[in-house]
Amino acid sequence: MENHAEYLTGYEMEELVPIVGMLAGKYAGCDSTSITYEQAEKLTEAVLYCIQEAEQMSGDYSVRTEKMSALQAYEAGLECIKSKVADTLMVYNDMIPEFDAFENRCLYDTVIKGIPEFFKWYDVRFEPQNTILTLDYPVLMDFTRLCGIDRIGEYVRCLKLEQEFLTVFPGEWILGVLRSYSTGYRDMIENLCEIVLKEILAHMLAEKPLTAARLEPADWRRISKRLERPDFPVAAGEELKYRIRKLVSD
Amino acid sequence: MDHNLMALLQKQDLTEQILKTNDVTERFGITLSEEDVGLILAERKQVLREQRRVEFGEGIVPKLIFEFCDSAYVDQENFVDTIIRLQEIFYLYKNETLDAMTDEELLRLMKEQFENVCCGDLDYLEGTGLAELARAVRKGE
Repeated sequence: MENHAEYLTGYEMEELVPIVGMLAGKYAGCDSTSITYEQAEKLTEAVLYCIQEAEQMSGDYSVRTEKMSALQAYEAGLECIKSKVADTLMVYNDMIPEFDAFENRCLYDTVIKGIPEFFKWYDVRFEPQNTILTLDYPVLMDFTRLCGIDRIGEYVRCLKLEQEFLTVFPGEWILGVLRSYSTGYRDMIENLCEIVLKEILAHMLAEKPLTAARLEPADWRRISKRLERPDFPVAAGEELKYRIRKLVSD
Repeated sequence: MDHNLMALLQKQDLTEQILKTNDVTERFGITLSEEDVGLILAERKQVLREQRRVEFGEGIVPKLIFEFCDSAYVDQENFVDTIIRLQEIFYLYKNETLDAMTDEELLRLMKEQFENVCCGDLDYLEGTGLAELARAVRKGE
């Protein structure tokens, strides 16, 4: 743990231990003069998490910030985490009024039931590194390297972007796409955006309007031919960007 | 957990604080020498490692001393061994009760059991009186 701490924060364990001791005193309050090893480990991780936040904030990831003592870095990081929680809550509250789970239970449970529990139970002071939730609904970005409010913050922002994208389209059309994809769409644990985006891209490549019925075999043959073109990646990329922008603005 | 980290967390020298308890205990005919305190602290280090606990601040030893120095079952001869044993029992039951009891609550219970139920028998205190309590606490009673 000592080398790990120094590697992560640039501070030596001797500098971090008094902060852990202080935190342990606050954790136990007047009730106890001792804590378990497991709790001491969690508190040490809490201190490391806060200091890393401070270093990320100052743009100084793995090198000790010369101007700050370990305690100052810890306190600065703690304030940073509190701000991140407030910001994430704002993004979440902003998303909720127009939120549509499109009848998908996993998305609904994660957003409506799960995320409020995070805000209820998240322990900024003694366990900021704890993500608490399992985040069952998969988003299109991989945040597994993150934890605590960092992970939840990115996850909520991702969900908001998805909602902004999906709610551009008529709800019934989205539901039609999902039903066509799978009769079990209500219970599936898949990213809805990915399914809808694939449908949109396929219609674009087939040069069919979105209101058209499901793509025919002839449409898929046409798409295959386009994909086989040697200039496809560049030309198609630009074309798709243009078409998606136009689609969204229309 | 890394033993060096544990050692760093518990680096504080408590000898002076424990010797200060003599101001109170001597009226009960009990005085601790520096050697006695050294023994108690060495055993404390050992039992904390065995029970996988970290102590901070002045720890539980002064409170144990104050709580038990007026017991009918302790005297100058057996006080150090009693405190060492009580220390073991205390940390054991902090774990067994899942930290559900405060230090004060557990100390008072230990004293009550020691005086009124176990009649100074430490094995009985560890094996019976407190064991029942720990079971009840774990059941959520």
